Amino acid sequence: MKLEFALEMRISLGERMHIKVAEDYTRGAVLIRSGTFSGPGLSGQIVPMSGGDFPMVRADGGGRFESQYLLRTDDGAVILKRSTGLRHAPPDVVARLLAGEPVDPRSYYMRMTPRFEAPEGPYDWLNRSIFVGAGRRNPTGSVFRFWKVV
Amino acid sequence: MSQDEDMPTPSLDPAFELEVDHGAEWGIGDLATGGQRWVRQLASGRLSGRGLAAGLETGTETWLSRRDGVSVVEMALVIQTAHGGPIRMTGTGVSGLNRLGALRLNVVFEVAEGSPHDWLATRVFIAERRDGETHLSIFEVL
Repeated sequence: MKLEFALEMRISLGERMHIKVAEDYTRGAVLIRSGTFSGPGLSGQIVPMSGGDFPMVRADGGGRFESQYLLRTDDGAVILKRSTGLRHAPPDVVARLLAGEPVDPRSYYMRMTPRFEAPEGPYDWLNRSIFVGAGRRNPTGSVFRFWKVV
Repeated sequence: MSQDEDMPTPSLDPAFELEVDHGAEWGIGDLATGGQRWVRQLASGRLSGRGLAAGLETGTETWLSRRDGVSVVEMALVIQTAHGGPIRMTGTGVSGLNRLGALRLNVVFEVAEGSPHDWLATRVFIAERRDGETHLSIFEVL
């Protein structure tokens, strides 16, 4: 299997919230305010406030992502994107990330596996593949790059 | 939009092989929400690689086969290690086949904290089974 670059996404995030469900179980929540995406053969915008990320927070401050939101291509196709993934880092790096400081993306592991549901047509290749991604967390948003597994 | 040059680029590193003996199979039928559902038991098997050897305790492979020729596949199983306790593995992915053949999955492990294998829960994996084969090749996303 090889990886073939598919798209890059830049998103701006809203308020980060936490739901302390139980002493040993916390659910995070952050909505996506806006964003754009671009790659070979597709580009467009994140549908504002169409969803967000709802991670399960690890005891070490890392997280297991569970995100869901909508993309709209420049020619009007609406695509559902769902993703799971992980962020793992040494405690000092986690502290800097949570404080909203800029952090070298190579100092932490942030990988995800997005899945897409696209309408029949020019983007339905998204339905037929799996993808892997790498992420970079910035103080006010995130940058993701996704590769198709070929 | 320019690509961000200051980003890590993932690569795939072979991690494990999962050999599976399939058991009973059930066709649930056509669903009102679309697609045809199939379920197959993972009866026995063995996972090996990266300092880990474990027997398959239980599991299922579930397919939702749509009319566009795509099947959405979910796999969930438990393996038992010799010294690190049980490990749960789940996979979600797709197949271009109608049912129960080649597939590619996104894979996540759940492991007890403190287990010698708890690093598995801090990494993302993908897996591939080629058509006609019974084993799943699992790769760590570096």
